[in-house]
Amino acid sequence: MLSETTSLELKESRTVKNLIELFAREAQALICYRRFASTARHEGLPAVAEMFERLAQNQAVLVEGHLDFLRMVGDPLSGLPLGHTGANLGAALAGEDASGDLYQLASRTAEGEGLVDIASWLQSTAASKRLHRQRISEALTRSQETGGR
Amino acid sequence: MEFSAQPHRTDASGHTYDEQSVVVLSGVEAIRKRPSMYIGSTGAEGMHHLLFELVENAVDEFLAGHCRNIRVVLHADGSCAVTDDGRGIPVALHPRENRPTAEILLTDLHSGGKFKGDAYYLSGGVHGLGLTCVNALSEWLTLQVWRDRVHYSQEFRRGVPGREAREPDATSSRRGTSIRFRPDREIFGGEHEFSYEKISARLRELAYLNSGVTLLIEDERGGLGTEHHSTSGLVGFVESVNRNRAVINQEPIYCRGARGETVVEAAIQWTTSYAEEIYSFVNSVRTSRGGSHVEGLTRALTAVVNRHAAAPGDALGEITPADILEGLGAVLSVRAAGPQFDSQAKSRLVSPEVADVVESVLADALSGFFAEPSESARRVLARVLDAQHARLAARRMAAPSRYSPQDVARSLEIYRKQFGIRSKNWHDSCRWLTDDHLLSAHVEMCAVGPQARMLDVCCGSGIVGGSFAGRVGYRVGLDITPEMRALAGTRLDEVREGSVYEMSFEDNSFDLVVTREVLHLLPQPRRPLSEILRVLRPGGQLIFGQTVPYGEADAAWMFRIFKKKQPLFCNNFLAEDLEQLLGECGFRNVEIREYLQWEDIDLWIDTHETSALHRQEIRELYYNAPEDVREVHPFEVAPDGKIKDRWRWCIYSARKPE
Repeated sequence: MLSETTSLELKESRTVKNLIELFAREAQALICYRRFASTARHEGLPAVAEMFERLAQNQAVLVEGHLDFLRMVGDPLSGLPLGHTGANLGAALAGEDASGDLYQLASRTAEGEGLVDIASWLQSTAASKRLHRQRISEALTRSQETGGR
Repeated sequence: MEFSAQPHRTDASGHTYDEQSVVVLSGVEAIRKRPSMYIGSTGAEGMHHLLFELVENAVDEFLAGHCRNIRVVLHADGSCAVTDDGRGIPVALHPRENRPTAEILLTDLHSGGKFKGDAYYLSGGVHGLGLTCVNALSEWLTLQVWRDRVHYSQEFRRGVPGREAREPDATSSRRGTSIRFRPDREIFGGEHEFSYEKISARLRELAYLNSGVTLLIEDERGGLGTEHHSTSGLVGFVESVNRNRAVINQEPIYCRGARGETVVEAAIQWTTSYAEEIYSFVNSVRTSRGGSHVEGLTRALTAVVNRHAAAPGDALGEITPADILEGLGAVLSVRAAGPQFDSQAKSRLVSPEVADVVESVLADALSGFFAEPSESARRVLARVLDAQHARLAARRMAAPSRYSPQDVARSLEIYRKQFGIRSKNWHDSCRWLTDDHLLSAHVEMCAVGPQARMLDVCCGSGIVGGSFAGRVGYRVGLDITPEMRALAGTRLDEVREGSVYEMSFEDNSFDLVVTREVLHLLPQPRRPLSEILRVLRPGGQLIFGQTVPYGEADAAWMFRIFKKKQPLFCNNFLAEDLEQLLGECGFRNVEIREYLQWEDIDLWIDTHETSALHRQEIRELYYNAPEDVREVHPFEVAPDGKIKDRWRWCIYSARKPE
């Protein structure tokens, strides 16, 4: 089918790789700006805090705009198709699986490097990610049984 | 008149000192201290909530079977009065408090008969907050009660009880309650006033939701007045929602049922339009963002329609809620105890148990409708299957239109199909198409003589070229869509088939070329601009209008809205981008005129090329627009969620060099 070949080609395009990279960068900036706003408020700089808050709002429009295009090609993290909720749950689960492994690895590395607090932090986040995985997988099962309802 | 046996002692500020008043003031003062906590806002919204609270109390009297007429008067002094012919609120001395019950109801925070604890209180926002809030936030309030052949009256100032009187009236059988109040400027500021339109619209809803009651509004300020009364209830409501749309099932499906204390009522009617219009209510309160009860409706529809429409081995797959909701008009009213609302918006119900009840009640009624082999049921199912086919076809078509490299031939093919379908209701598909001022703004740029030969490219219905009648000598249209050419034939002297990329006209054939809102859809805008330059005589003029962002702040936001509305959208020009492009293509003497026009977004996105998901996402982009966007790009979201956007049009005039 034409649409499938097109999206396959697109997946390999430089433009989609660029969009994936920009998606990640802008999402990071969004979180940083929120934190910068909070810091500025703490330092008694409400005008700067307000500026960062507004930038964060704009960032959200940009990040989601990148995803408007990317979701047609697939999940930037897992490469799996996105679209309706069934597909989105599948991609989310794959993403959680992959990052779960990453956390284990990163935690061991941190321990090896003597960074015990970071190692513990990564263990804690891994615990939280296990919960994510469980929730998503339950939702996925329900969705397969009942069409998500 | 006689005064109460125990007049309150008051000091200069109106505060009383007796023991009873300590209780009284604690309620009133709590509300006055944090009014937003009780009524949501201290703006115009909050002020109207006070009035609606009184109206809803009267409607409760109607529901209890004791009241038929409710009259709202907006007075010239900024006050308003709500009068009903119900039982009249009790005025006898309360056995424990030794005060008139009416006074307790107006001054004690926890006295309302509807009050059900803090969760209900806060989550419902103002509804069910009782009379105390109204009283506490009024500069003054006058209560009158006719009951048991006694006319009782009492005055309050900022919630503090004042003069009280009982007048026996043996000859009158009048009964009811009348409350007149003026919202306190100390709370609401001085700039807000009651809106006749807003109140009348709400009374109209209440008349439909409460079949049989008469709600009258009179505006002393402007001399306006309307009586709202319905005997057809939700059926009449949904018919009025769909009054400008072509309906599929002439007779709306009406459902009513109860599970325990929860009562569900709905009227459902499909139309040939695209957007769904679901009006949902919980205890007569409008839930503009839907919630659990609307989920229940969607679930019931999806289950029942799939059961009756799906043929065995159907390769098309499941019929999605979006297929079923396409073009749906529905009114859903739920009466439930202790509903929970979204804490932020308060316009969304979040009571999961209500979803189950609604689903169960509606599934029963809908199964009855679809099981019957009626013409109506057959037409509805055909409508739903059409939507499913269109969705699948649109997916096949839209994916390459978005993601293939700029393929002109493919884009033209989609363009032709899409505008062929849209030609059916072209002029009703948005405001801008037929806006006279916008058309005039194009014509006013015209600087060619009365004998000029004019070409309208991508002419659509020919409405732009048609508006140059009398200003030019001969008008030719060009379009690739047969349906559109047929429309344009009624407005232009001649209409040709053809694409703007390769026009079949000789060089230097025209004195004037016009077009509007086209370049943003053309993957390679330089090519058509060069073609236009070619067919213009030296010194000839190009005039075209284009919607553009206000600037850098709204460019990305606007891109997303336009792209979601129109998959063919591929150029988001800033005003200065277009000026530069014209120069690069060889045009000179570029002039730009700005024209601002309010577009009805709900109408604009009610079209087949905009998917249901995209419609929802467009609305969310407005609801959640960043401050930076709001500062430069005016738009309005009405309390019912409807959106108006003040589009920035730039009309360009440019010349081919001599």
